[in-house]
Amino acid sequence: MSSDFYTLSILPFSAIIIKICKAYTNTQEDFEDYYQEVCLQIWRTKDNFKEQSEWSTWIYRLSLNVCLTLMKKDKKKKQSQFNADELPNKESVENHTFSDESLNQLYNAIRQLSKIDRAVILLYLEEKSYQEIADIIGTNPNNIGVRIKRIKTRLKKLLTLKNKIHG
Amino acid sequence: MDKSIELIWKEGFLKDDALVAPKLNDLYNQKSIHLLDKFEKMYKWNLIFLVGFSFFILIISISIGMKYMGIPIFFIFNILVLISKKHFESLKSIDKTQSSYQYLKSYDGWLNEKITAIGKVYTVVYPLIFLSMVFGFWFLDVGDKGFLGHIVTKWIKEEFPNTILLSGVPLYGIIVVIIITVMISFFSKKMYLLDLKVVYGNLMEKLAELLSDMEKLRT
Repeated sequence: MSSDFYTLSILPFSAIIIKICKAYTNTQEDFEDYYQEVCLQIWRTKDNFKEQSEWSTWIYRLSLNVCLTLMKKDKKKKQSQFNADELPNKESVENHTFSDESLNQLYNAIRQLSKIDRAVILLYLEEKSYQEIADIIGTNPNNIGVRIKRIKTRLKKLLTLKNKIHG
Repeated sequence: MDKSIELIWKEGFLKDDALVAPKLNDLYNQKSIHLLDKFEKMYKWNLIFLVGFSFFILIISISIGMKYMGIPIFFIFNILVLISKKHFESLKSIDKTQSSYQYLKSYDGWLNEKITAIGKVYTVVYPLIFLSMVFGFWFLDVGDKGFLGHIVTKWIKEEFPNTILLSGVPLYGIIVVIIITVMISFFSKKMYLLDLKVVYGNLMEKLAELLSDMEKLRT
């Protein structure tokens, strides 16, 4: 990947990729792999971008698709070759956290959602309209509002529970 | 919980360390290693499968009275495995200290060389498998009545008395078998490539894709 393309077309939008990849990974190691794969896929498919949508929307869509695909592959891999060495190392888990504790808790709660619910809530938190969310995910915009409400309730429950446990 | 999730999201990402992009490195190295490992594993399993299958054919064919098919196929498959294994050993001679691109290029070269070499072996292997099957059916033991081939010849002699026989075998039958054998040999390269595509097609495509990506990067 040319460094020009990365610097000009990916880096300014890296926040999107980071936010999405963090929600689909549990360790810094996985996060870095996912981030690299997303960047690579953006570079590979850049010629398919037809400017019918914003470049940022394209990045959201690609990042989500890559993360969903990688998660599926990882799950298969872990199922077929599970052993003690495959357990995430502590340092990699710790490096994966943010300095803001509330944000960490929110992310941990988001990671407990289904893959699609994670995508919906990430896009909602990024202030995407229902129509944009539906376009990116490929679903009906009419259901998005209800779904977001349900996800938020679940997240609130998860966060409250976490706060109760930690006093 | 005091703050809304929207606020946690907004405030959390205001901190400087929240959105530090990781360094892009070594991605192609990781991808190449993963791809080539997968290929080698598949190649090994394929050879193990061939050996297992040759034993299976041998046992089944002997038990149903088709030893003239089972025994030759058993040897053909195992010779094929030995040849493929020899080719596989030559893979170790590729210098692994080269750059990712050079290594993948050497690997691709090795793969094409192997396809050409083993493709030539198959021009003999496929016809031999076919001939083994013909012999297997011809000498199929049908108990007191003798071999299937003899029963068929007897029937042909009764129904078509003018049939020319060559060493007790209908000449037309011999001609048909020869034509099919030659045709199989002629199309063997295509059959081998099809076989290869079914087993390794996906990996070969990925290797070509990876090489093309790296070539773009170099320009």
